[in-house]
Amino acid sequence: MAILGPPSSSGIGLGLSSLYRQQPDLLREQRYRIDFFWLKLLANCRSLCLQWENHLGLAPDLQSRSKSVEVHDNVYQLFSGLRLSYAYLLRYGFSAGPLLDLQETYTQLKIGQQQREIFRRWAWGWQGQFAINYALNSRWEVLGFLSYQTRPKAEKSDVAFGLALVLNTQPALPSAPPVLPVRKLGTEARPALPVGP
Amino acid sequence: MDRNLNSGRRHSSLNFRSLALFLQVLLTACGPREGEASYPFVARIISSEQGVYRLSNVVLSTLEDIRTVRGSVGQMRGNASLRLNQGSEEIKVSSDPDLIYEDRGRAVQIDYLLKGGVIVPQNIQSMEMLGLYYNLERTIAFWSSNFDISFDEIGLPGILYNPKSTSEKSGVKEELAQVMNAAYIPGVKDLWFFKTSPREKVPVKMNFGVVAHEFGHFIFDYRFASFDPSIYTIENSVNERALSGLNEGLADFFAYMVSGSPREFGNSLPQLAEERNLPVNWTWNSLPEADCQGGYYCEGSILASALYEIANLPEQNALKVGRLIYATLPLFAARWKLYFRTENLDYHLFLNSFLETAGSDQVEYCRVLQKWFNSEPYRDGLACS
Repeated sequence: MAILGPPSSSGIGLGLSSLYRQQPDLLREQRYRIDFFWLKLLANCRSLCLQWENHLGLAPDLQSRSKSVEVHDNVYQLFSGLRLSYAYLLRYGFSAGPLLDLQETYTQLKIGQQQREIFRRWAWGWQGQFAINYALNSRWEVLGFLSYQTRPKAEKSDVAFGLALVLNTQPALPSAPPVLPVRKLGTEARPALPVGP
Repeated sequence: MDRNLNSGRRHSSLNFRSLALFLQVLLTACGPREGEASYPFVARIISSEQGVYRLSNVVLSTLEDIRTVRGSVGQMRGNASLRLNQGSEEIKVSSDPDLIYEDRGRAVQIDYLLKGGVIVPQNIQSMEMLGLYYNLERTIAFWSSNFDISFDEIGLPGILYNPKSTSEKSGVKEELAQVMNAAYIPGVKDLWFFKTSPREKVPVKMNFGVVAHEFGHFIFDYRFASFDPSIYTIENSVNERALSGLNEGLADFFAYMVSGSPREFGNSLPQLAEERNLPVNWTWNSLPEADCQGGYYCEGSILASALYEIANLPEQNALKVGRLIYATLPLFAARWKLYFRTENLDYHLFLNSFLETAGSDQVEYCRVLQKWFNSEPYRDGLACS
């Protein structure tokens, strides 16, 4: 069931996750995140796999909190990490790496004099992730993950979990055996028929 | 076979090189470094000027730590949890924080960026916290500069942002998030600003009038109760209703005096505009037909409207009337303590104490009070001579 691909195999994925973002009032706010994955196998994967994982997450702030004052902070996250997986019936393992977080804030006042402003802030951090891959066939895998991320400068930490469907751009299963040379029928030597007594 | 292995190794080394390069770019391209915000902090928030809300740069002159919104006005606390099992009476009169709070909360931590030295909040919570702090700062500055009051001596109320409520039924704990309200709790001297509801136009905690109103309860607690919560324990429901209405009406007038706008509440809760914007369109006699659902709040609005009209008489102003109320409250408290256990009290006791303090303006004030409190007992009972 595990993906046993050549070192050059790679995959792209699309998924949805639930991001629990730590808010200034010390509570975690849930929001949905759309995830794009790009995975590259770095070392063969018969028992241990080393994979380079890149992940772009888009988490828009869709909650309406007030009729006239809107401050929406949409979040864009780019994660790049190395994943070490153990391959058995499922492939599961940990990945870790740096995280780039862009917070884009739309501030809008819809009372009397209407005003709208956009601000952006970049922040970096680290992410650790536990992932499980389940191969549906040689091309498609389901990826489940649970990640913890921290942004040291902002002293914040967020949690996310989600599912993604991954397409292996190069078939991961070994290709079919080579075709044997064709010989004309009747040219090979026939075994002698058994001769009865 | 060997050739394949070599090609695989070359591929892997290329991958590692590109990975290293990518990580290097990622780590060095972490965006512009934010400089440190410096005192006095200037923040870009939505605030009210004479009842008009706009996005503008405001100076938070008393803020000491921008990250945790801490300054001489107080320290904002988030994630507090209130014990809902306590009845409202116990909450009002208890000065024991452990009885009221499951968790008293911790220092908040806002998200912001610096844009040309100006603090720009990065989400609605940070915007609300800075807005709340700014409103409190302005309110306290108004009281400090216009009244003989020393906050160093009496202290300031605690500030709780988005407190939750917990209730326990048969050993099972439930958490509730109250919305769309604010409160002052006399016993523990804390201000509660609940979670924002999508029904609020301007978030209640960013409404200058609401913040000034809640602080007005703190002033009432100081001048009337001398911070003794036991005075609010009233067994007689008539007297309890009168004192609650009086407290609300005076807080509404204080909010007008501080904010300079009689229509602040409607900016947050349009359904409250008719009931709380000053002046209201009912008097004591027309109270039963009034389009007002607030119980004692509706009576308090009559008092606030009368004081508003007095403040707008020629040669009068809100500050002058506010100072008279401030001077009246200890006198009224002394009289209240004498009678509240034995007699049914209404607004007479306060109104007559107020008229006594009014001096030469008494006749003019009395005319206005009689217009609003136009039932027979009030007309006859007001000391207008």
